Amino acid sequence: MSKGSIVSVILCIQIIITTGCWDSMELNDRALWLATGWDIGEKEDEIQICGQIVLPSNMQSQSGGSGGGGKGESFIAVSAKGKNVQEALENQQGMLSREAYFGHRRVTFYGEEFARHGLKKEIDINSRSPNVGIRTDVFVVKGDTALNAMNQSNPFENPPAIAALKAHRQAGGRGDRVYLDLLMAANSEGIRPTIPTVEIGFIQKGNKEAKGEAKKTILKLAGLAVFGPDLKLAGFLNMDENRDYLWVRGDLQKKSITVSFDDESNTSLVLSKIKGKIIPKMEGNQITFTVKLSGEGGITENNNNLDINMRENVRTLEKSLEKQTKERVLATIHKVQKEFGLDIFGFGESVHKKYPHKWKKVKTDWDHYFAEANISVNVDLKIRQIGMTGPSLLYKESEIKE
Amino acid sequence: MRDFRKRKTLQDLFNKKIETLPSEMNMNMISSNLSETEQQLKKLFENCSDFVIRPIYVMDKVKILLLYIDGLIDTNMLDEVFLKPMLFERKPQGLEGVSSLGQVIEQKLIAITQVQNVSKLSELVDGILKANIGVVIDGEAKAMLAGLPGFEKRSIEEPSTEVTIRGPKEGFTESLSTNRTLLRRRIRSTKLKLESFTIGELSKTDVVMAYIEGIATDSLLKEVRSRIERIKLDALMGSEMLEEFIEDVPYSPFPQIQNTERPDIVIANLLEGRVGIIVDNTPFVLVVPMTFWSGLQAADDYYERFIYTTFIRFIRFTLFNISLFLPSLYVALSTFHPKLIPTSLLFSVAAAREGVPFPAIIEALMMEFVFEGLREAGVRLPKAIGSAVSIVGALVIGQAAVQAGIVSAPMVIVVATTGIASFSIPRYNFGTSIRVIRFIMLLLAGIFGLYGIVLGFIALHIHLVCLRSFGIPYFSPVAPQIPADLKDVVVRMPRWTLNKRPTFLAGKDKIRFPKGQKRK
Repeated sequence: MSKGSIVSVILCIQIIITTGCWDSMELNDRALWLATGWDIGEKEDEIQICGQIVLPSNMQSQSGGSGGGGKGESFIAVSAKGKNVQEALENQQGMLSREAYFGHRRVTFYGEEFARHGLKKEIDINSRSPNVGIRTDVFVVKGDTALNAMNQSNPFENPPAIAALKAHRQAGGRGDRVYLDLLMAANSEGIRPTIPTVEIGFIQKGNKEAKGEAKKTILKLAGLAVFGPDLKLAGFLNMDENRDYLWVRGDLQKKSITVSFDDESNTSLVLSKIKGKIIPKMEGNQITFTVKLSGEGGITENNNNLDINMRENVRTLEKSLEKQTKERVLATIHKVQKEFGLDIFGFGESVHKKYPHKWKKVKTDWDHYFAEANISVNVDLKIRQIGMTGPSLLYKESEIKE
Repeated sequence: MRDFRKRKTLQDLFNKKIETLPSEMNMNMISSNLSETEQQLKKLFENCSDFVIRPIYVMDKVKILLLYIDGLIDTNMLDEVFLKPMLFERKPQGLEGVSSLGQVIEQKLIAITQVQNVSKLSELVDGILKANIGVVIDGEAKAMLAGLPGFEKRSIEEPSTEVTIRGPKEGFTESLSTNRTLLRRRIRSTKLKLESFTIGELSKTDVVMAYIEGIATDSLLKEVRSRIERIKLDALMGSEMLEEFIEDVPYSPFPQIQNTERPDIVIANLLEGRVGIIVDNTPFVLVVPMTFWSGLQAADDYYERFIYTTFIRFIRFTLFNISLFLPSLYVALSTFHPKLIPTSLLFSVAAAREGVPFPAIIEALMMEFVFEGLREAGVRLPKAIGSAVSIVGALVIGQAAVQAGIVSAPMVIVVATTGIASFSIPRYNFGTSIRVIRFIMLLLAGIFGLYGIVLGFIALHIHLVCLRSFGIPYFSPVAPQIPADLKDVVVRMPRWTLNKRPTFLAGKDKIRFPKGQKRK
C-alpha cells in the first residue's frame, strides 16, 4: 500500500468519525408533534402555541410491558406563550423531555380570535422551517380557541387530531391541500384565501337531557372561514355554502343534492364525478362570468310517485335538480358578493388567465369589481344510476306516474 | 523492495524442491534386472504399509512382480482377471509373431481393458499411485500398468445444497470419473471435451476442464487453461482451493466463480458457452465465468413453467434487496428520517420502541449478530441438536427479548424477514457475500442515514459493474446491456424463444435451435 492510499484511507475514516450522526435521533428522544394550535395570548401582541403530542407509551402496543396499568390518553396538549412562534416554542420545549419533532404535523388549528387578528405575521415559520411540510390541513376553530379544540378526544382516532383531517376528506373537501391553497391565495390578487372551519359540538344533537357519555362533545366540520386583506378573518360560510364554494372552484370530491318537488316528496342525488369551471367574458369594461358546474351520480332516495325507469322522468328529475342547484349556488355567490365582497372563488384568477393585459387594469381594485360582477351559473347534472328499484315501492301501481 | 526479494527466494526454494523430487526418478529408466527394480521400488515405498509387492511365476519360470496399493484397486477383479490366468493357464497357443513375454502377458493373459506400457520408473510409480496395477517382468526394461480401480466411493446421491422439486436428483460425488460420466451421459457428442490437468506436486490431483467445442470461445478456453496451468501447489485439496487461485478479484465479496453440485446445471452452462472445472475429490464443480444474475437463478427456474418462474424471480429479486437493505433502511428511517414513515406506522414503531434501552443501530447490530450466530450454530451442530438450538433461538430472540424490553418488536420482524430473505438466494456463497455487505450497509445507515445507504448503494454498484469474471463483465447482460440476452435474466421467456445462446458468452455456434417452434 502506498503512502498516498494510506493517507486517503485515514482521511476517509476521519470523515466518517467527524461528520455524520448530527441529525440522528432515536424515536424515543423525539416528541411526535401531530397538530399545532394558534391562539392569541393574554396580551394583544402575544401568541399562544399549543401542540398535540403523541404519547407512544399509551398507544396500542403489543409489547405489553407495562401490564395492566390502564391506558390513559394517547396524546397530550401542551401550550406556551411568546412574542412570536419561535419564542413560544422555546418556552414550550422547557416542558418537554424530548425534542419536538414537526415532521408529522398533519393539522393546524387557528383560534377564531387569532384568525380575526390576522395570520400574516405569524405563519412565516411554517414555510421557512425545513422540518414542517406544507401538506397540512388547516382549520379555523369557529367560536372557540384552538387549545380547546385540541383537547377534544375522538372515539375513533387516536390521537384525535387526525380525525379532523379524515373527516375533512370524507366530506369531500380539499384535505391536506388547504395550507398550500392558503399560501397561493395569500400571494395572489385574483383570489382570496379560505380555510375550512371546525366547531365543538355535542355528539348527540337532538338529545336535550343528555347526561354522561351522551353529553360528550366532539370536533366537527362547520364550513368555511373567509379571509380578507392581511389574512384577517372576515366571516364564515356554512357547510352547504362551503360545498358550493368548492364546486365552483372545482375542488369538490363528493356531494349529495336533495330537492323537493312539492311539500311532501323529495329526491336525493349523490354526485361522484364533479367538475366546476369559471369562464370569464370581458366586453369593454363590463365583465361577466359563467360558472359551469357538472356532475354525475346516482339516485339514492326518491319518495315521489315518478317512475324513473322512464327516460323522460329522469330528464325531468335532472332538470329540476339542475334548476334548484343553480338557484342555491347563485345564492351562495351573491351572499359572498354582498356580505364580504371578497373573491374567494378565484373569478379574478380566471380573468388573469384569459385576459392578462386587461387584468392589470382591474386587479388593484378587484374586490370591488367582483362585488359588482354579473355572474350566471350553468348546471349540468346526469343521473347514471337509479338504484335497485324503478318507481318507489311505496306506491301502488295505479298511483305511479309514467 | 525487501519484501519482494524475500518472496523471490521462497519461490526459488519451492522450485528447487519441486525439481529434486521427480528428477531423481526421471533419470531412472526401468532396468531389465528385476531385482534391481524391486530394490528401487522398495526404497521408494519404504514405510508405505499399503504398498503391496506380489512376486509370481508365470508359466513356472518367469518371475514377474505385481505392484499395487491395497485399497485402491479391486482385489476381487485382480484375482479373477489377472492372477487366475497368470497362474493356471498353460502357455497360450499361437505365439508366432510375439517378440517378448511382456507382449504375451499384455495381449493374451490380462483380461483388463486399460493396459499401458511405461519405461520410466517415475511413470510406473505414478501409475501405481493412481489405482493401477504395475506389472514388471524379469528381463524386460519396461513395465505395464493395468487400470483396475476399485476404491471405496460414495454413491450418487441427491445434491444436498441445491434441491429441486422437479429436476433430476443426481448430484456429483467425490470421484472424478463418476462426475465425468455424469456429464458425458448428458452430452453424447465428441464435442464435449474433457481436458485433463494434474495439479499438486504431492497430491497429483486430477483436474478436468469441461467445455463444448464451438460453443465456448477460444479466448475463454485459453484463459482458463493458462490460469489452471499457472498454479504450482504441493497439494490441491479441492475445487474451493482452486477457485481462490484462479479468481479474478479475490478481494471482492462477490464470488466470481459459480460452484454447483448438479450435473444438469453444469451442462446447461456449458451449452451457454461456459466452462466447467471438475476437481477430483470434490463434489462441487466450478463453472466460469459467473455473472451477478446467475447468482440469483436456481435450477428450478428451468424445471417449472415460465410464468411461475418469472413470478418467482421477481420475488427472489425483491427478497435479495430486502436481505441487503431492510435493516439499514429501518435504522435510517427511524433515526434520521421519521418523516418518511407513514404517520400511523410511525406511531406503532414509536410505541414499540418506547422503553427500549439501546439506539436502533445498536439494536439492529445486536439482533443481526445473534441471528448470524444462530445460523452458524445451526449449520455446525449435528442435526438432532440443530433443531433444539433453533427453538431456543426463536424463543430467546423472538419473544423473550421483546418481553424483557431489550429489543423492540419491529426490530425482531425486520431481522427475521431479512433472515428469511437471505435464505432465498439460491447460491449459498452469493448469499454469504450479501450477508457481509448487509453489516456494512447497517453501519453506513447508522452513521449517515439514507445518505449513507445511497453512498453504499452507489459504491456497491460501481464495484459490481467493474468486476469481471474471466473477462466477462459481472453485470452482463444488464450492464453492458445486451437486449437480446435479457430474455433469461429477470424474466424467463418460454423455451421456444430462447433459441440463441447468450451473445456475451457463446463462440461460433450461437444458435441453439431453429426459431419459430412454438406450436401453432
